[in-house]
Amino acid sequence: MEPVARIEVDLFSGRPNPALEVHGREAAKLAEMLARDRQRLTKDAAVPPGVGFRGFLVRLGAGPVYRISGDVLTRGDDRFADPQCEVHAFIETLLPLPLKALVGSGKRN
Amino acid sequence: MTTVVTLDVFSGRSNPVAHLTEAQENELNARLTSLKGFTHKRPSGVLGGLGYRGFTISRHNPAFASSGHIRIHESIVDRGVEHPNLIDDTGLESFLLPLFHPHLPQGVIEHAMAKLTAADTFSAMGSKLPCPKCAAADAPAYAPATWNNPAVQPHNNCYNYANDHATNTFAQPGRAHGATAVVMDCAHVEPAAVRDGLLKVANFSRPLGSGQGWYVGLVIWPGADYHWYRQDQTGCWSHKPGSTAARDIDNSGHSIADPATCDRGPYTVFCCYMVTNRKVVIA
Repeated sequence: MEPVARIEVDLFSGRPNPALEVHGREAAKLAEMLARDRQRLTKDAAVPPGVGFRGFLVRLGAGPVYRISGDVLTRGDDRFADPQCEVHAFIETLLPLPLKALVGSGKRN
Repeated sequence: MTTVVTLDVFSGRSNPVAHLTEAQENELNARLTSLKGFTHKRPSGVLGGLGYRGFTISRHNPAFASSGHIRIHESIVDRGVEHPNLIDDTGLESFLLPLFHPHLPQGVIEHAMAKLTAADTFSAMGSKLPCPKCAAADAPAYAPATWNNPAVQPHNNCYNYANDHATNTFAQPGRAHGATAVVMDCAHVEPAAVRDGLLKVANFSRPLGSGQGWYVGLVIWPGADYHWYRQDQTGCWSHKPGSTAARDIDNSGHSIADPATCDRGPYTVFCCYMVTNRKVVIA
């Protein structure tokens, strides 16, 4: 079965967040990146910024939801390090340009 | 790994540069990986200006064919527009400045030291501002546990929270009355909320008796989205950003005395205060 990943951009407060699906090679690469062994972080996560861009929510098939925000990957209560922000950067390459621009403006002061 | 630190301080001359030893790299990495707090604020050094503008750090890791560039200034680790920034509570700038002591005139070091001491840092994170008086008898209690649970939190947004009504529909202004706002600006979202029964008011100081509702505030991220705050019994304001947890702090971690002046990230336009009540119908 062809791998499918649903990516929700956690961006809005009132309107539903934009989301997209990726398939095939891109979904497989995302699955491989998320499956890597990573350093586990302590659980005392800071509250993420309230309004504006908060990260990506990724679900592979019927699997668990991952939150990807910069160099931290969260799955349920578990947090893992991605020091080079590889997953975050890879997901950004998958975004259509208007959405990428919106993510950029969502990080404004 | 090669790590080059630049003290961004000069205007005419080239900025001084230091190459870190392995031990210094390890210390820097340990401090950076220990940072847990995020912020969307950016240090003023990214905009330029004269004098001390922080440190830039360029790193190249041949093993991963990767490189990175960050700026550390005003207790913020700025990772560029692609990533949320980090709050530095480990004194990174004080750690980096001595690397340049042997190579710079004392006056330059003293200038940077003075800026470090006077910097407006994030030490105020989580600080409590005094709450204004709550003039609404019906104002909800701040009880985030009611909202921050798996059955409610993902299905209710800022509009649900402001109206203190969990419909589990991610309610949209105007939808219960036939038309939602199609353009994300005050001129479209305000009337949509009025159709639901909200009432625009000039401020949040007029006393509202029992049955007359409570105050909410509407803000806009131009062209993209809207957001609502509500005033609780405490007098301070709280909000629920999208499907995330309800909270009583703004994007800088401060309590919210007035949604017109708090840190609202990209929701830069404050539209108005409004009054909602238990008879308002949302969907």
